[in-house]
Amino acid sequence: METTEIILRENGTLTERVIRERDLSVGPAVLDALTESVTRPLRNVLSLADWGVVHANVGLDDTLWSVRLDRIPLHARFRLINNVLVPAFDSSSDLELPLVWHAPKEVRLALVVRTEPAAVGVRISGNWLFACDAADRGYRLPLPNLHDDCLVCTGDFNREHASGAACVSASVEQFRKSKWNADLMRTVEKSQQFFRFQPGDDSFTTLPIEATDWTTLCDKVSTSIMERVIL
Amino acid sequence: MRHAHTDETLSAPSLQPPNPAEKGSNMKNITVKYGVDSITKQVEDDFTFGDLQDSDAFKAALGFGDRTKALVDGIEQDRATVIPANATVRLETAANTKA
Repeated sequence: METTEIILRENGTLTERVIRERDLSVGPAVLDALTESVTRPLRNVLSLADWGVVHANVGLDDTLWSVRLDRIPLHARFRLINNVLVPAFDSSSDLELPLVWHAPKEVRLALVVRTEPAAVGVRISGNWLFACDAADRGYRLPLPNLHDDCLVCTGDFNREHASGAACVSASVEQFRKSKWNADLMRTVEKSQQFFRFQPGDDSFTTLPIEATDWTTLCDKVSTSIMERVIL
Repeated sequence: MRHAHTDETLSAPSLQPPNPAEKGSNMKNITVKYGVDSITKQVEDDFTFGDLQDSDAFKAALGFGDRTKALVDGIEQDRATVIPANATVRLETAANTKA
């Protein structure tokens, strides 16, 4: 549609103004470009047996799955110090045990799985382990096999699956069965204050963290991945 | 730049105290975010992203460590770049490589 206007200006000039209007066909590519950095949180997308619900944060190129953990499988070497069993990740002689550390409720844990489209199906492009406080601040736990940004050094496993759900299951299973070694280890003292067990007759009980404020044993983190975690 | 300004003030014939308005012009406000926490602080005019990343005062206030990257509007900034006045800087934990 075209509209022509004739304008008489204050100085006596006559001006012609032509206005042309047309509807634009906004295709998916344009919408995608405009919403490139927009992500959508979706709660309770999956339920994992033995673990619980999984939330998703969906972006244009990837999906971030947040698995809320109430425990960390700690398959590692342990040492008895003052009748308390603590990890000795860099040891080669101490007893190797598949213990499970149960998180106190003030330590909110999330295993994060990022998936991206693959040639066939979906591919896992990263796993992160975050600890969060009540105000949603993110922390790196005093554990080895964790990069500064909480990316988990998972070891090799099949990263391509038919669906996002299968990727999440595979990541959790890898997390469950992996052994913790001394790679990326910092100071073991903080680990030994954080992860403590009381040996019993036929079981090991998780002991409280040996610090008034558990975050003092961790490193505070801030990353674009952490921002998308849903707990 | 800071030293030049100081020298100029002290070398003035009357040795007058610095003009408060002039002194104020050598400072700027910046807002720094690290995770859910943020702080707005006055810093010197030539304060760079590297100065911020190394600042013990900002580290103590926000809890970041030695390895960070600084972003403005999602774009990573060079350490040597001077932070613009009233800028909001987002600091993120930088990833390390496997030992």
